[in-house]
Amino acid sequence: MQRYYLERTLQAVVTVVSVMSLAFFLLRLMPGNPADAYRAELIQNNPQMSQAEIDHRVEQKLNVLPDAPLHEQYLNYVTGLLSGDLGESINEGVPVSEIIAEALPWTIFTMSIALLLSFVIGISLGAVMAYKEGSYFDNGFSVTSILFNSIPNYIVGILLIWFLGYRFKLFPTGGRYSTEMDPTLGLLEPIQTVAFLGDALWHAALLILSYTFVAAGGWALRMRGNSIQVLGEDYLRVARLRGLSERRIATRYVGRNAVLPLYTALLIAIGFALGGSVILEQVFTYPGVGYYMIEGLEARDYPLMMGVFLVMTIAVVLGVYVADLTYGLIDPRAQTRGGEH
Amino acid sequence: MQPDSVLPTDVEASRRRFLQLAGATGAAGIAGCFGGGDDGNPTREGITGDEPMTDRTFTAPTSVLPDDMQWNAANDSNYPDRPGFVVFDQLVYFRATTGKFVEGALADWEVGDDTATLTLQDGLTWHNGDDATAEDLVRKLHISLYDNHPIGNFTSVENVTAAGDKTVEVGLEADVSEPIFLNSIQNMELDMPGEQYDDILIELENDSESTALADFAPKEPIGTGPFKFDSSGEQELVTTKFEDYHWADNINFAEYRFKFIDGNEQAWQAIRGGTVDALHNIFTSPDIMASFPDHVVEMQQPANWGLSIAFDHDHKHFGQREVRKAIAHTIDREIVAENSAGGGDAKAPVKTPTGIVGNFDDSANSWLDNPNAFENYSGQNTERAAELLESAGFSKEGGTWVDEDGETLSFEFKVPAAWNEWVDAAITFNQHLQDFGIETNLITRDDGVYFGNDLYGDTGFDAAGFWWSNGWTYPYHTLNWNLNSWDARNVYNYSESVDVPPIGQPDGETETVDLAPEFEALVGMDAEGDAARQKINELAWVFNYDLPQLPIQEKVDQGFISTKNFKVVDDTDPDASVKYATTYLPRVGKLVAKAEE
Repeated sequence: MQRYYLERTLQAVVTVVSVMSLAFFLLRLMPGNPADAYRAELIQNNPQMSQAEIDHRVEQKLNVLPDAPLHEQYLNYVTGLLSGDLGESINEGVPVSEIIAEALPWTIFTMSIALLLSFVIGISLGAVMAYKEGSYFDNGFSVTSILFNSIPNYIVGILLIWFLGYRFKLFPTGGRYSTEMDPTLGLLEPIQTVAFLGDALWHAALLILSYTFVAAGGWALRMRGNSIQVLGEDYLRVARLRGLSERRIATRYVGRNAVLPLYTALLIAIGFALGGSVILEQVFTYPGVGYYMIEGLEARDYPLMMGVFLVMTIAVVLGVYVADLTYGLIDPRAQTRGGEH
Repeated sequence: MQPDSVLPTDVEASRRRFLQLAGATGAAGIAGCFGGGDDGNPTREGITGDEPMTDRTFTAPTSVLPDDMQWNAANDSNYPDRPGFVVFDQLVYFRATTGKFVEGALADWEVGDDTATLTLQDGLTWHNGDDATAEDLVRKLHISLYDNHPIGNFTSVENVTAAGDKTVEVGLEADVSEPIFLNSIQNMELDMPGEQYDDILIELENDSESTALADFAPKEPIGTGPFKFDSSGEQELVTTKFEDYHWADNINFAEYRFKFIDGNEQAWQAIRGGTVDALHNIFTSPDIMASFPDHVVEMQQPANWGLSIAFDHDHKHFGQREVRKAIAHTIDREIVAENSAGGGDAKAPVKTPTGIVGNFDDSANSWLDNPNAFENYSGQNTERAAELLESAGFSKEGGTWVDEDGETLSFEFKVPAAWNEWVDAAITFNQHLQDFGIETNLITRDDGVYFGNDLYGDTGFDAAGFWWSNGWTYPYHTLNWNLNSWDARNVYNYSESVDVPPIGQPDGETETVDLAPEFEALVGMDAEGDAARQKINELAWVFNYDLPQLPIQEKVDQGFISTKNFKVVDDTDPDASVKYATTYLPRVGKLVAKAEE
């Protein structure tokens, strides 16, 4: 068992290092570099700026760009990384870790709520659909779930922002909280904290809903499939013959066994949720890590892109890793590995 | 020279009545289509000048996250350009429709043979309460010179000195006429107070290569403009009226806020929904304008630049004048401009390619002694285009033009993908060229790749979307940009000299014109004198005859202001042509709040 944990840990580390290395070089293979992007920005914002001025500004900027060979840059980056240094954002001029530390809680805030909501709604709906298999309810929600699951969440986001934001003005169309709101989180200031959280939730509502609608459809379909499979198992017939109540059968036998395979998917989805935030945060101009990923991409800000990418990679790998390590705890059938009986 | 006073309503003879003409046409086209519930044309209440002070807030967009803003304009990362226009004063302002400079932080200026004398406004005060003095202007000029500002073409640090409490003398090391000198300082803002920049200047004096300036990122500005930084939050920057501002009496609203808005669609939505009172500058097609409420009025400003086709002059085919001219005859610029503007009036086709701006109202021709002597390349004259290509040894095979070596006349045309107006224009003229038998392929590029690799990098291009003016009205600037600039030499590889016949005689005997000496002569000539006019005509002819670039269209900048709670002058007012109407007009009392009900 210890060997299993060790293997999984090594796998996780190797995956992170491989993805990080690949990303490091692939990002630099993209056409254009920070100086090009900066030049483009200068020209667009200052059409009357002379070429000499632009060159000077770009040169000043280039001073902060590493000019060492790529492999040296890579070694420096990895060395920095080992000491917790993600580098400095070329465009923002501040440490990448600072940007991520400021933005990440907001992405976690929105994505965790969205994921939780979509999971709860999805599995509830899926279970009911399975119980009512073949009914109008099942057919209707199956089609709806497939439909939602097929639409990219940012399209749902654009529709929501249009109708509920601009058209009916029920929700803000961007930002994380109201300008006049003082960000407060503290047990000693409960009223201000609740007001702030409420305001933040109101601002994040459409983003959360966009993710939830789409993801819930997927969870519902998976849950439905799992439940139908479980409903056909022999041990359910035995349970009924034993006279157990349908409620108990539904929750303890069907629900539990159907939801178990979703546990791994949920943990992986936690990781992917960060990546899923990229376009949504752009649509809602919500400055989380995804928003800064696009900012970094547009400016060819390598350290910023790498930093955000690394966070997303680690989140996914961590999700899979935790799922691997803990699945056996919640499903004893998975405690043993093939060939090790 | 005593500048035009901006405070009374000037009645300058506008060279450009396009705003009225085009505006009337556009308004007629879209009147009645405006959404928002109430029918009819937008109406404006007249400004009386005695509007009472109000607590109103004027809200406009900013594209920089308020929390990320930093206020050093020499550090472009997260510098809020538009808010900077109300927090800081420019030294002078430029009325684009009349070509006149008007006072800003400078009350007066005099550009002589050896010295330019600049005098600051009386009562000019920094937002921290300090008086703005000549030392502040000297600091600004010194730092700008270290930062490679174009004023360095005429002077150097040791020649910029204070000559009194409010006066600065700039020793001129080269001949320069007044408009050229003023153009060079026009974008300068008085934005470097001693409290924040004294140390940086000392560092630059010790090491001119120091990056201290580029690295400096103050979170709060100290300005001299009409609105003072108050706070920046998650989504908004709040500035409040600066009571000690030298023209504070002209401003009757308490706050100017900037709301973070990222992207055109969001900006249009914001003015539709009333979240903002104005949009500074945004290309908006008639169908989108039709969705704005009636009380939103358009403010047009000449942009003095526009799309051109830049040819690589080192290219086997495009290095040939006949090919460039054939292309010019093949493209119908009117159709291109119309498509590019989405059917609106925000693009004017270049009528006669001379390298001089002013195509909305034909004012470009006012610089020419005999406009008819110039080739206008109008419409689609494919017969003339075919003649030109045949004279250069091309022939048509299977509907496609090929050269003497059998090589097809074809090119990839590169444009930045995000510049929709350019893409629309390129699609149109590519079609014209293909119909004529020139094979073209439109390549849309990421902005960074387009500017960094294609135009200013090693990738290069055969032909690419470029701009045929650097935004100034005085022809020296635009002609120099096209014929003699670094960009002309290095981006499209234009030669340093060109053989041209006399003006109006395309078949006459050619003479070689060395371009650099011509511009060195023009820069010091009196802009209103006959010699300068003659030189401008000669250089415009060089442009027209040789076509270093093919100018396609000239654009007009579109701003929008909601008149629900504010009153604003018509955009035919010369002050409305100062960039940007939304930030300049409050200074001169031409954008005021309505009395509160």
